[in-house]
This record gives sequence, structure tokens and C-alpha cells, in this order.
Amino acid sequence: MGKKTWSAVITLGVIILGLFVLKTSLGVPYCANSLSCKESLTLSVENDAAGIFSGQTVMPPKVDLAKKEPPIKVLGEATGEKRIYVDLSTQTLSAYQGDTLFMQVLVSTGKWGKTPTGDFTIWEKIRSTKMSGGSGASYYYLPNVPYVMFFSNDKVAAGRGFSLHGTYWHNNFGHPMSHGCVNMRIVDAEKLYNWASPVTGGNVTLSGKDNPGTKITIHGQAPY
Amino acid sequence: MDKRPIKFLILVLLLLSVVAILFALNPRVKTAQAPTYVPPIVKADPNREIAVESGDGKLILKMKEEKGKEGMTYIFWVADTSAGTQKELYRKTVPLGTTMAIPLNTFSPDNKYMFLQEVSGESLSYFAGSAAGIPFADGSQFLEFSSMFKAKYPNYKITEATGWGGVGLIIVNTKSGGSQGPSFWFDVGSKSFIQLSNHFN
Repeated sequence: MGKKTWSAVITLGVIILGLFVLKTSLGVPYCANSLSCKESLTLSVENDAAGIFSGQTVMPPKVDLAKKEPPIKVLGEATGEKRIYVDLSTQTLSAYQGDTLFMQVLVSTGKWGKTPTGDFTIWEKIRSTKMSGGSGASYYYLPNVPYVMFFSNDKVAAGRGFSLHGTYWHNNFGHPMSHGCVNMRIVDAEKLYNWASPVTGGNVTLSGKDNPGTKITIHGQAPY
Repeated sequence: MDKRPIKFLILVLLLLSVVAILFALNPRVKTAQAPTYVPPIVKADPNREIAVESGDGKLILKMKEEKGKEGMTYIFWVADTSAGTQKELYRKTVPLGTTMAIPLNTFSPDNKYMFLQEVSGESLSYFAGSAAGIPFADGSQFLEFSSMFKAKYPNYKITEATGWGGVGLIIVNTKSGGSQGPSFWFDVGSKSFIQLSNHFN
């Protein structure tokens, strides 16, 4: 085989590898919220700011950081490990303590960016943050995203910003509608936030050895 | 330069390319971590809902049925949970066999609007209106946008209005013949349809 042929083969190999890397990175976006990748991991409250979604102005809910969240009252005795399951195919979130179902609700997972699948752990809970991303007609800017529960594992790093959170800019639950996060109705997100670990200790709570995060399993194939 | 290392490098690259292609073609490999447990799903039937809460929990839309001699009367009212008040918004009598329902995603994200569904045989109708009971400019309490859609896009048939894609935008999915049609926004404020390049499932 001549030098030119080998060069062509090498070039082809590099192109294929490059396309694969590109495909993989496009499938699950590096950051759930491209413009606020780092910013969305921190507490943020902008009660007078307006949001933008679907090219429209949307007013976020007011957030009062001084307000104490009421403790969750669970009827009956629920024991065992807490676990959250997100089924992408049915767009459903189920939360269990042991064998006891705590809640089962419709959610919206990734439409413009895929929601990663696998087993995750909640590593941080934030009462309110800001999320932004997209461009052109799909640009979004969303202050005061409430009840945010960031999750990660050894393959999806914490810094990529995937989370379960409350949603005030659409009401299309049961259908994919996010950029990779798990969108929940605010009432459902609040309930889950106050139930899930790490046990809330302020407006920002990090998990740790003494306060581990609840495990999340995301599975299934979203209806694209 | 010795050709052997180059050949070895080429072989490695080719092998990597083959592995990469196989990996990319097999979606199962992408999900590195299989779920450890799949919980049972209890799917709620949206058509059976008689009270639906807004996403922020501030409003509840309730529906009551009253059976009459000639048909069924559906009465809708909105309860404001923070004010502790409720207000009747709408009532409609339909022939027996026709049913009305509150979709789960009935309230717009800002709680300004809501939409209702009516089913008669294979015919599906949708109504949008103000959650505060404010009539439209023509005095009507609710706007039947499925008929408007049919008049404007006779080649498409509405399969479902799933919810709100934005503050005043109802997501309308369609079909054309036996195949999937495009999705549309119905902009309640301007009473207009916007065809989308994305399909909403």
C-alpha cells in the first residue's frame, strides 16, 4: 500500500473518531444549561428580574430565603433507603422510602438536550438559582429556578449541572421539554426537595459523609 | 523513518474507528449504568380528573357533572387557594355521549389562561379561556381553537393539545393522513397558530 493510501486511511480514521466524539458530546450536552454552566450551581435570587423562554417574557416566582420550609409529614411509618426513579419513557418520577411510595408525578426531561441515564446521587440542594442557555429563538434566561437538586455520578460530573428542579416557564409535564434537567411542577419539586437528602440545612446544602444524598436512577428512552 | 511504527499506529487507529462505530451504533452501550430497579407505573387517566392544581399550587380548576334529560351539563370553577375563594367560570351542556375533561396541564405557566377538552366520538375539541373569568374581546368566555385550526389547516388534524410551551402558547400536535404532522403553538393572546420546526411528543 502506498504512502498516499495510508494517509487517506489515517485521515478517515481520525474523521470517524472525531465524528464519534462529536456525536457523543451532542447526545448528552456537556452542560445542562450552556450559558450558566457554573453559575447555576450557586444560590441566586433575582426577585425583580424577568425570565425569557420560547421568545416570551415570563415572571419568575418570588423567593423568600428567610422563609423556613415546613417539615415533611409522612403518614404511617416509612423506613429504609430513600430512592428516586425517573422513567424517561413515561416521563414519570417516583420516590420511595423502602417499599413505600412517597410520590409519583409527571415530569419533563430532555428535549433539546438528552437527560443522562444511570444511577446518580444528589450532591447539592439549592433553594433558588439562575439557568440560561440556547441561542436565537431557543435562548432562555430563567432566574429564580426553585428547589434545585443537583445530581452526578462518576461519568456525569457535578459541574455539568444536571438537576431536578421546579419549573415556572412551561406547563407541559408528561412530555420532554428540558435541556437535560428533570423539570417538575413547583409544588412537586418543593415536596421532593424537603423530603430528599441531604437533609436541608439552609438555602444551600451539600451532601457529605454525615449527610449523604438520595440516590436517583434515570432509565428508559424518552419519546423523541 | 521506519515504516513499522506508522503501520502499527494506523492499525490502532483503524481498530479504534471500528470500535467507535460499533459503540455509536449500539444505544445500549451508551447507558453505562443500567437501572437497578424499575418501579411499577400507575398511569393516571387525565380524562378522569375532576380537579387540577396549577403548577405553583395557587389555583385549582374543578369540574362537576350534572346529568339532565337531554344531556350532561359540565360546570367549571376556579378556587384560589391563597385567598380561599372560588368562582364559577363556565358551564356547558353537551349531548349524552359527549364528554368534557380538564387536561392535567390545563393552566398556563402564569395562571392567566387555561384550556379544556371535549370529546364526541372521534371528534376532539379544545377551548381556551381566562382563569380569572375575563371574557375575550368578542364577549365569549372560551375560545374553541380546534375549529379555528381546522379552518386554517384543513390538511392537518389535531391529535392532542398537550400543555403550555410558554406563557400563552398551547402546544398542538397534529397528524396528516396516517402520518405524524407538525406541532404548532396556539398563541391565545393573538388567537393565532405558529407552525413549529420541532415536533413535541
